[in-house]
Amino acid sequence: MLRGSLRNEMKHCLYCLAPLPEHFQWKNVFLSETTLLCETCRNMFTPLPKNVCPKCSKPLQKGEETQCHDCIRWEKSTHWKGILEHNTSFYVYNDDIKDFVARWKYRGDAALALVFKEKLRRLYLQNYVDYYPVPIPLSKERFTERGFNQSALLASFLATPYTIFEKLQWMRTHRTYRKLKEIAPQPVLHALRRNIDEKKQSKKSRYERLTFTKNPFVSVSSHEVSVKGKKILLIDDIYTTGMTLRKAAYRLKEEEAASVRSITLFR
Amino acid sequence: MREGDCVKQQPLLFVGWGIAAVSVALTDFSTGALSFAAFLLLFTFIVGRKKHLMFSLLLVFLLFYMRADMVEKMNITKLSGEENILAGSIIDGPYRDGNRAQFELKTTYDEKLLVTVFLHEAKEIAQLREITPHSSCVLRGELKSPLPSTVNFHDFDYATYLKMNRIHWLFELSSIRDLTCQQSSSFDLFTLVKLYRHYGLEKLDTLFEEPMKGIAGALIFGERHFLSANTEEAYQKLGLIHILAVSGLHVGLISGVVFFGLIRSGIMRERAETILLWILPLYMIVAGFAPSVIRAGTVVMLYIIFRKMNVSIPPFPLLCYIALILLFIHPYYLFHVGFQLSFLISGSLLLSRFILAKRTRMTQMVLVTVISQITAFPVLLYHFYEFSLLSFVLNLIIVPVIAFLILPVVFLLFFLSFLNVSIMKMFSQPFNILIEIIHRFLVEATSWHMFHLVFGKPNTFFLWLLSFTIFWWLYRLDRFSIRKQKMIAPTIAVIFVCTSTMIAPYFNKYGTVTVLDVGQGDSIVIELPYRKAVYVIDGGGVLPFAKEEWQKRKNPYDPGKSIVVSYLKARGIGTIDKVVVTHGDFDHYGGLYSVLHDMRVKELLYGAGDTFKEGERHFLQYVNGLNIPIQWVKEGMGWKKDSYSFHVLWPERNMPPGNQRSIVIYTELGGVGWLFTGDIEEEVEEMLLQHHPHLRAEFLKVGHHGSRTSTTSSFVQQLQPVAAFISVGRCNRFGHPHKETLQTLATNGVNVYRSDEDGAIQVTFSDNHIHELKKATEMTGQIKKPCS
Repeated sequence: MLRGSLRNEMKHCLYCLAPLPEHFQWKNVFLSETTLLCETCRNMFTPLPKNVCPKCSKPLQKGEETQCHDCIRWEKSTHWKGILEHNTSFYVYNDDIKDFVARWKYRGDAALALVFKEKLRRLYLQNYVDYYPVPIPLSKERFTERGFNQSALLASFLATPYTIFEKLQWMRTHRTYRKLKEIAPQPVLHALRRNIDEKKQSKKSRYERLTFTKNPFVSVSSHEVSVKGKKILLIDDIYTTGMTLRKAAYRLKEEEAASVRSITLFR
Repeated sequence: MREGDCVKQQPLLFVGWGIAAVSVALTDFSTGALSFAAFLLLFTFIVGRKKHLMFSLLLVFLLFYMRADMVEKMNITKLSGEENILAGSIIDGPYRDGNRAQFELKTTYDEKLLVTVFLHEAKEIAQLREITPHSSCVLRGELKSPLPSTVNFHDFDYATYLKMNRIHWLFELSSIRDLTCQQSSSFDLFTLVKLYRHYGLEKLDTLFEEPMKGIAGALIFGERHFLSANTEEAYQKLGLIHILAVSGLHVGLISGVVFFGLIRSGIMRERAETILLWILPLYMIVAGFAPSVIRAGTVVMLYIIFRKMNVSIPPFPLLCYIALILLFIHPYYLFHVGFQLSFLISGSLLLSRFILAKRTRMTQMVLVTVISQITAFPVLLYHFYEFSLLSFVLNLIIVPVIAFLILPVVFLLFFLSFLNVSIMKMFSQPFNILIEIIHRFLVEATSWHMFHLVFGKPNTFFLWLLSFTIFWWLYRLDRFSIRKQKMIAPTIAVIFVCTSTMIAPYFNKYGTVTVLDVGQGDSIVIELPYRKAVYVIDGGGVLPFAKEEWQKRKNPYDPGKSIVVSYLKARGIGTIDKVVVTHGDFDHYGGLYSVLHDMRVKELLYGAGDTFKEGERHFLQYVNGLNIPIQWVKEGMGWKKDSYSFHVLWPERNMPPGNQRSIVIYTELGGVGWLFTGDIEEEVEEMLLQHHPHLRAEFLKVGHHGSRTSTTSSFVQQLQPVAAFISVGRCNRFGHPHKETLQTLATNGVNVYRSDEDGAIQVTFSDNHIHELKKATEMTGQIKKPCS
C-alpha cells in the first residue's frame, strides 16, 4: 500500500522534520528500533490512563466503576447488543492529535501511519493472531478525494509477513509449535463497502450520529472474502461514539462472523 | 516497506566481522573462532537482509582475514639460532630488575629480540643507566629459544605471547661487558620523546621513594616495572588494575587540565585545541603506547578534529572504527587483555549513556562501576579465572582517590622534581604514607578468601552463555530502567550461569591426580571425584639466587605462584582441604608460600620431628602467621574422606630433618593403589617393606626425582607398579633421573612418565576405574626447550 523509500526521511522526524539524533545504546545496538518521531512529537501522543472501560477503552469517569455509561447504554439496546465485543485504543484524542490526524488523513501525509505500525503489530500479535483484519471502507467519492484509506493502510500493516521474532511470539501466543515457514499473518479481508456518501462523521453532532439509522456499509458477498465463522478485527483510526464500528460490525454479524472486535488508534 | 525496520549503520556488526576474521585467521580455525563467525553470520542474516550491508561485511571479513593471515605468515624469524654477535638499536628499555636487565632490540635485519643482561656487581648499574633507548649496540651473547622448560595444563604460553609481540628469540648476555652501545646520532621527534621518557623514568627511579615510585611510573609513563609484584597482583586480583593502566579517564583528565590551563593563560580556544592535538600523540609515546593509551588518545584527538571540521560523529561508532583500524594494523591486539578491556569497557559505558542520564552523582558512580565490572567480567574470567566481589566496593573508593588525588599529585611532584628536589621530597612524604596505607590494605584484602570467587578456566560455551546473559541484563536495564521487576529475570540468569559453572566440579564423577611440572621439585594435586576434597602434596620451589640487596628481583621466578597456584585457579579450586609438605627441602615447600597465601587452606600436614632446618623453621613460622593449623603426622596416622582413605606410612619418630623424614602416603584411587613417596631413599624404602610386607601400588610417585639413591629393585618388585611418575626438572644439574633408576623401572616393565619430557601428567579416575592418562605436552602442543 505504502510505496517509496524513507531513506532521507529516516534521519528526520516524520512529523516536524527536526533532525533525529542517532543514539547508540544497549537496546538498539544489535536490533535497532526505528524511531520515526522526535521526542517532542512522540510526547504529543498521550497514552490512555490505566482505568479505562474494559469494553471500549474509554477513560472511566467518576461514578463509572466497571463499565462506562456508553457501553451500558449500547448493551441495553436490543439492536446493538453484543455486536461489537471489544475495542482497544492507544492514545487520547486531543487537540494535538486533531492536527496530526488532519495532516495524515485530509492532507494526504499517508506515511504518518507508519508511526503506529510497531504498536499495532505488537498488540495484534499479543491478542489477535487468529483474527482477520477488516478495514473500515471509504466511499468512492471520499477515496478519490483523499487518495488513500487510512484504515486499510493500518490493516495492511498487520498483513505484512512476520519476522522471525514475531513468528516466535506467534507460537508463544498460540502455545503451539509449527514450522516457521507455515506461520503467516491472516490476510486483510475487504469485506465491506460503503455505499452512501454521508456527511463526514466529524462534522456531525452526537445526536445526528446516533440517530442516523441507515447503515452505509454493505457486505461484499463473494467467496474470497466470506466472513462466515471467522473472527474479525475491525481497524479504524478514531473511536468517538462507536456508531461507525458498530454499523460495520452489524453487517459482519449478518454474514455470520464469529466475533467482531476492533482496534482504534485514538479514543 | 523494508525501510521501516532496516538496520541503521551498524558499526558493531563491522567490528564483529573484523574480530571474526582475525580470530579465524590467527587461531587456525579453532572451534571458538568458527562458532563466533557462524553465530555472526546467522545474526547478520536475521537482522541485515540488505544486499549492500552484506556485501560490505563480507568485504570487511575478507580484508581482515587476508591482513591477519599475512601478518601471521610474515611473523617469522630470520635468525638461525647460531648467531653470537648481533647489532641493532634498542627500542624499549633497558629495565633493570635485581641482577637482571632486559630490553627490546631491533636488529639491523629488522627483527625484534628480547635481550637479557646479567649484572654481577652493584657498580654495573651505573653503566646500565648510560644505555638509552635508540642507541645502536653491538652485543655478544647467546640466542635462546623462548620455549618453556616446564609445560602444564592451562599454561600461560610464553612463546606464543612473545610471538604475538613479534619476538622469536631471547638473547642472553652473561655480562654487561658484552654490550657496546653508542647513542644514536639522528634525532627525530619520536626518538627524542622516547629518550625523554627514558630519562623521566630514570629520574623517577632515583628520586622517588618506594610506593610512590611504582604508582608514578604507572600513572605518568604507563610503566609498571617499579611496582612490587605483590602490589600489582593485589590490584589485578581486586579488579583495580585498570587504574594503573593509562586509560580514558586518565587521558581525559590530562587533556582537560592542559586545555583549560591553556585557555586560562589567555590562549584562544581554537589555538588550545590545536596545541592539544600536538601534545596528545607525544603523550601517547610517553605513556608507553599501550592499546588503552592509543584508544584514549585517538578518541580525544578525533573528537577535536571532527569538532574543528564541524562534523558530528557519535562517539560509539567512532570507538568502533578506531578498534577496527587498530585491529587491522596490529591483528595480534585481539588477544591483548588491555585492548579487550579498554574497548569493551569504554564501549559499554558509551552505550549506557541513557542508563546513566538523569541520575544523582552517587547512583551514576555506582552504575558506572557496576556496568564496567560486569562487562569486563567474561574477559577477566577468561584471562584470570577468578573474580573478586570486593572489586565493586573498592572501585568506588579507590578509583576516585587515585584519579582525582594521586594522579594530579604525582604529576605535580614530577614537575616539581625539576625545580627543587628537596621540596618535592618534603611534599611527597604524606602521599607516600597514603599510598603505603592503600597498598597495605589492598594486599591485606587479597587474603580475604571469602570474597574471591575462583571460577576456573571457562569453556567457550560458558563464556557465550555468560556474555549473552550479561547483554540481556544491560539491555533490560537500558530499556526498562524504571521497572525493577523487569531486572529480576536477567539478574537471576547471570547469577545462575555463574553459580552453575562454579558448582559444576561438584557433579563431576571423575577425580584427578596431577603431577605438575614444576621443574626440579615436586608438586602433586589430588582432586577426589565430585570434588569431595582437594589435596596438594608439595608445591615445588626454586631457591632465590640473590644474595645482596641490589640483586634481589621484584618478581623472582616462583613455581608455586606461576604453576601450582595458576593450575589450581584454572581448575576452579579456591580451597584446599589438606596441604602435605613431605619434607623440609626448598624444592618441595618453597612454592607453598604463595599457595598458602593465595588459597584458603584448611590444614597443613607436616612430618613430626624434633629438630628442623632453618629454612623449614622460617616456613613453619609463616604458616603460623597465616593461622593455618598444622597437623604433625607420623607413621600409622591417616585420614578418611567418604570411601577414600589415606594412610601415612612414614616418617617414623626420631628421623633427622630432610629426605629421611619424607611423608609417604598410600591410598587407593580409581580402584588401584597409589604411593606418594616424597624424597625417600633406599633405607626408608627398606623399612617400608619391612613394616608393610604386602604393600602394592599400581601407581608410584618415584622417590627423590628418580635419583639412584632410591627406587631400589626390591622395592619396585614388591610394589609391582604399572606406571611411575618422575617429577624432575628439565636438564637439571643433578642428572636426575639417573640411568640406574630408569633401568630398574624398565626391567620391571613399568611405564615411566617424566615431567621433564611429558610435562605435567594427569590421571583421571572415577570411583573404581582409572579413566585416562594425559600428558600436558600432548594436550597443549607446547614443545619443551632443548637442553644445552
